[in-house]
Amino acid sequence: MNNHSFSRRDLLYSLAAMAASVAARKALALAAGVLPQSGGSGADAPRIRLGAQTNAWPINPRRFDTFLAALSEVRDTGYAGFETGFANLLSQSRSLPAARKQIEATGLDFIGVHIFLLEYDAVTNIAPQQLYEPVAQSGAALGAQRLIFSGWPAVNEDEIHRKADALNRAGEFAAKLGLKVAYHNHWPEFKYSGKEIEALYAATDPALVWFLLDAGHAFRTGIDLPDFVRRHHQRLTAIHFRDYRDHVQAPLGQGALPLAEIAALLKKANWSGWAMNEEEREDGSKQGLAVIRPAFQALKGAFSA
Amino acid sequence: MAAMAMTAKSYGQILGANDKVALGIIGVGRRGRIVGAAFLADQRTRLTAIADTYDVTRLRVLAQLPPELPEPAAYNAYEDLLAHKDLDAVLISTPDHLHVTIARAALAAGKHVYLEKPTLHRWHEQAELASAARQSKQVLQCGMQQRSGAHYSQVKQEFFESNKLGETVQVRAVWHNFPWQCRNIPDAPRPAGLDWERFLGPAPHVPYETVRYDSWRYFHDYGNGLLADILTHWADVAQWMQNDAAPQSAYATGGIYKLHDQRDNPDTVSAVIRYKNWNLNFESSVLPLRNDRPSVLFEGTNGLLELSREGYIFTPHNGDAVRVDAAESLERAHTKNFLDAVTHGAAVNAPLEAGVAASVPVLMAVKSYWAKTVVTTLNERA
Repeated sequence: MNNHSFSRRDLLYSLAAMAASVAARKALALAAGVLPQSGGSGADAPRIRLGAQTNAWPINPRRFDTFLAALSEVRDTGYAGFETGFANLLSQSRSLPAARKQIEATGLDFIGVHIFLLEYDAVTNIAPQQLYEPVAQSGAALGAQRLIFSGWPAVNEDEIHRKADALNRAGEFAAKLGLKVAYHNHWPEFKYSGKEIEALYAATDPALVWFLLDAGHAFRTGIDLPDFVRRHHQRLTAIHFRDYRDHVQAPLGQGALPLAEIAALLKKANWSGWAMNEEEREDGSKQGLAVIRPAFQALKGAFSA
Repeated sequence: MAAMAMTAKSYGQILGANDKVALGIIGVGRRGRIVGAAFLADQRTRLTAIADTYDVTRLRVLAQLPPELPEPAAYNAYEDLLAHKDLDAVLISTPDHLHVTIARAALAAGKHVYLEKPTLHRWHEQAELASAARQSKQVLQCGMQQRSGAHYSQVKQEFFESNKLGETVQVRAVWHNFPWQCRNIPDAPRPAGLDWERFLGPAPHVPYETVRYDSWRYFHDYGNGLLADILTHWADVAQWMQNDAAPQSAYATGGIYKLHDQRDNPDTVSAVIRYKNWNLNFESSVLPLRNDRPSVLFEGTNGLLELSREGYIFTPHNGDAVRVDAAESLERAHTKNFLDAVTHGAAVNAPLEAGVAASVPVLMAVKSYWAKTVVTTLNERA
């Protein structure tokens, strides 16, 4: 996710600090009032809004200014919201109110805080409870609207049910903080004709668990993406768009991803949610505006057409 | 090694028409996935097969492979993987007690071997592995990845070979805080798809316990704990830099101070390894002790040199500190070196001799820890 590593010690210290300030977080959550529903923060907001993941930027998790600088570029590009990895927020665990003000000053919606790990809980295949609870609490205090999970693939029925149950439990916890839980896929969930993702849709509670479709990862498996979106758009709260041409990542709109077709069917379905650009590069490069700007134009073109 | 004398043409003949190294991974747990990913980042690798004793682990790894890649064969038994047609090389990333048994079989089967550290789990394995390597013409790389780090080589040349650091009589190596070795692991029935007997291999055959499988590093039968996991790396760096791999004595002490679970390896350990003209002082704990930058600190007569995976800081006795950061992936550098050796006959940076040399102070310290005495030699029972 980032060029800069955040040590396990840093993580544990920061989580401890978060846990120690529960009262402050609750007060902040109350002060924030009702969180915006997916699709917009006001009555006049468009139903489909454009956002960006911050992992296109070389953010140093130890330096919050590098995170804020990335947000400025997200906003200046024209996006209305952002999603970020939880590691980018850990440095602010002792100063959540001030950090929230700085985030709000960008004018961007905080679409969600994402927990991506190299190692997941061996039983649930998502982040362990002792990690996601403080992340959700601090995320809520910072104004995040969603708690986004990635996970390890669940490879048999038992694993599917354990993972789904864990997502349901996380959904219950997050709902109390005003957050939606969204599960974000990589390609494994869509391999083997989408066996796992279909099972997760069936086994999770629609009232507690939404999905953040990573269309780029899904597309790589060769699945019929428009058909999938057509069948499952009601539980999608956001979509990551990224493009490929001949199995190589390409600028959004210039590859084979059926962006225009998906945009058209989402509009036709009156879908509400965030259409987001995620430009995480497989070579680890962080190209920032060089890739985000053209992607914004592609998204804008597809969704305003 | 004989392989070094082979020409690029002869390697091409071995590797086949597509010039890719057909790789098998034996043990696809955490390290297998990390080092395996480094291999896959190199376009010369074609992942051909994996082996693991747990079916869920195998299936998970298959699912995680990029969808554009042909799906490799998956086996429970490493013998079946070694028999797979057209396999050139194997990464052995199993629990430590299986390293040498599998490495010998792989070499005997004509495979190039990347053997994760520690090279040895017990000293008596040294002769068996050396014999297998002598009889093989294949490449053998040991998994001390610092050996392929550009900044490590630079430091070796600049500070040690040119004597910029002066004489070094004290070397301090510290690394703490391993949360995955602090986990409370509830017992559960043996998963149907886990081949427990195969996991045990040459270790004592005991009934299945979840913690023994899920956190085998807790147990002396399968690993030597922090002394194998951490001291192997840091002793290797220290011996390499100091150009002295002949420890004269070792004393290790520690215990299970906080984590009173089923483990038998210590949660905290210290060791002093004495060489002819210097000491290596090692401290490690799985507990969350503050340790911002795990490193090897060389205390030279001309200054201090703190050498870590992220770079180095040289603080001369007179003058300002100099900090050099390194962003290189050591795993990628080390697997690249292995592939260079397989495809072009390059010399491996961590040959068997280096792997065995790194195991000597470790196994002396392990022997000392359990015998509660100073150890000066290793014997066949160590």
